[in-house]
Amino acid sequence: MAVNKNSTGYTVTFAIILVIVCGALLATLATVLKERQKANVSNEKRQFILVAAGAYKMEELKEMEQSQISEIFTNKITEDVFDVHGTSIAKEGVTAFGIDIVKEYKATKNDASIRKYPMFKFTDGDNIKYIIPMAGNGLWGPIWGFIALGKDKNTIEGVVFDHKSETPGLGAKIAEDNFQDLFTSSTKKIMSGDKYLSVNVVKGGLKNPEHEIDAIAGATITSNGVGAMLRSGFKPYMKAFGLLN
Amino acid sequence: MSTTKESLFSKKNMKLIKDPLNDSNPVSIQVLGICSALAITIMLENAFVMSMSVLFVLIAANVVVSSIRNLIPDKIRIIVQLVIVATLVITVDLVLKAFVYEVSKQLSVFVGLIITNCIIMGRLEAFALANKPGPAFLDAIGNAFGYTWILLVVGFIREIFGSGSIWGVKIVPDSLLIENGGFYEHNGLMLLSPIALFLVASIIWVQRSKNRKLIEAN
Repeated sequence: MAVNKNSTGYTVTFAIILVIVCGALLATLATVLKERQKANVSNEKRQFILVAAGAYKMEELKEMEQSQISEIFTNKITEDVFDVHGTSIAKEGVTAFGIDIVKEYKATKNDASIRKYPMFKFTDGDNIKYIIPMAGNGLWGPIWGFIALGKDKNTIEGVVFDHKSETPGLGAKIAEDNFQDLFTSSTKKIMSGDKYLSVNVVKGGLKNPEHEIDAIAGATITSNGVGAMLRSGFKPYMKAFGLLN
Repeated sequence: MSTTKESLFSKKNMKLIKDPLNDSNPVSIQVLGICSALAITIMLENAFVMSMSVLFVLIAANVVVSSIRNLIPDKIRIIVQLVIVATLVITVDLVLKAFVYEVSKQLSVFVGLIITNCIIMGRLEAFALANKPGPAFLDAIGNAFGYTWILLVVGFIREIFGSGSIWGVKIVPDSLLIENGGFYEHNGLMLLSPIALFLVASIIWVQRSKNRKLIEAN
């Protein structure tokens, strides 16, 4: 049967069939792979928290099975959730792990006072770390991080940063060791006496080395984003820890 | 096997693979796919993974479009190609996210950008629509590798002079840097996109001075 390929009817039919086939293919694929992708995201979050706590190296965790990581996590991490005043609001249905820090940040962008602030406490015998997740804005998209404070609830003992779409080789360097090691290679503190100074990211030399980090050359906006995130991120926790009124 | 059937690896077909590597290179001769050559060549590894993704999408798109070339209505052929490429790119993205989460995170932005890579649309329009799937497959391989080697060369130069490393492995020791009392400093220009233009232009220059027939008479 000869079909006129240039008729409107044929064109429309072809377009409809093509879209249905492609759409069905993608919908099936997305549904089939969804659980796997979710598990990957949760697994990565657990890895970040354990790495920030200094308990494991990322390379070690990548070798492990997801179930193994999940087990370690359950054994060593306890959670809590605070409101902006540092009061614990953890209850049935509100778990720290269940809070997607980036989504929470976006949802409460205009009113940080209703934001929920999750916290993870790592305990391994005498070794106690308080891991604080936070999120902010980079150049192209969200950035986030997990910052571990030591027993004194003030000194930074480990950080992990990540980002959605910062420029590789520039802003993306916040997720690399060279930048993250700056937080632990010398002492960085959140509080100076009873004053909340937090940690800032600055250019052109450190004036207050306990509260400042060198910015990344060529990635000003991402660096500023990390700075802004750190400047405001610790406040509710300091209130919860009783270090700030 | 019928005797009239042309072998897939005949001389004519092998030309489909070889030409794009040099005489009709998609980047240096046709000057396509430049945007991605600028954006993702800061690190060699990114350049490589991007090239492999383009390889997959280009092969699949070329073969699919070529197999249904007699069914595609002329009036909407560009849209049809776009839908097929987009479907493939999203498929790559979903599969990467589920099975190699790490790699997918590195590629995040770039996977989507494959849709806009002119090489893919260019090959579909110029080759797949008029040829059988076999040759279209070879044409895709040739062009993808033509793209790959340029990206790798540019990525190599940018990474070693810009960050002092190759494939993420440090080559220039930190102790040589001026900030640590040495004499060396990384070239910041190498980290910025415009340098890729200079590098691609240099490749074009070298290639044409070696291969005189590529120079247009004017």
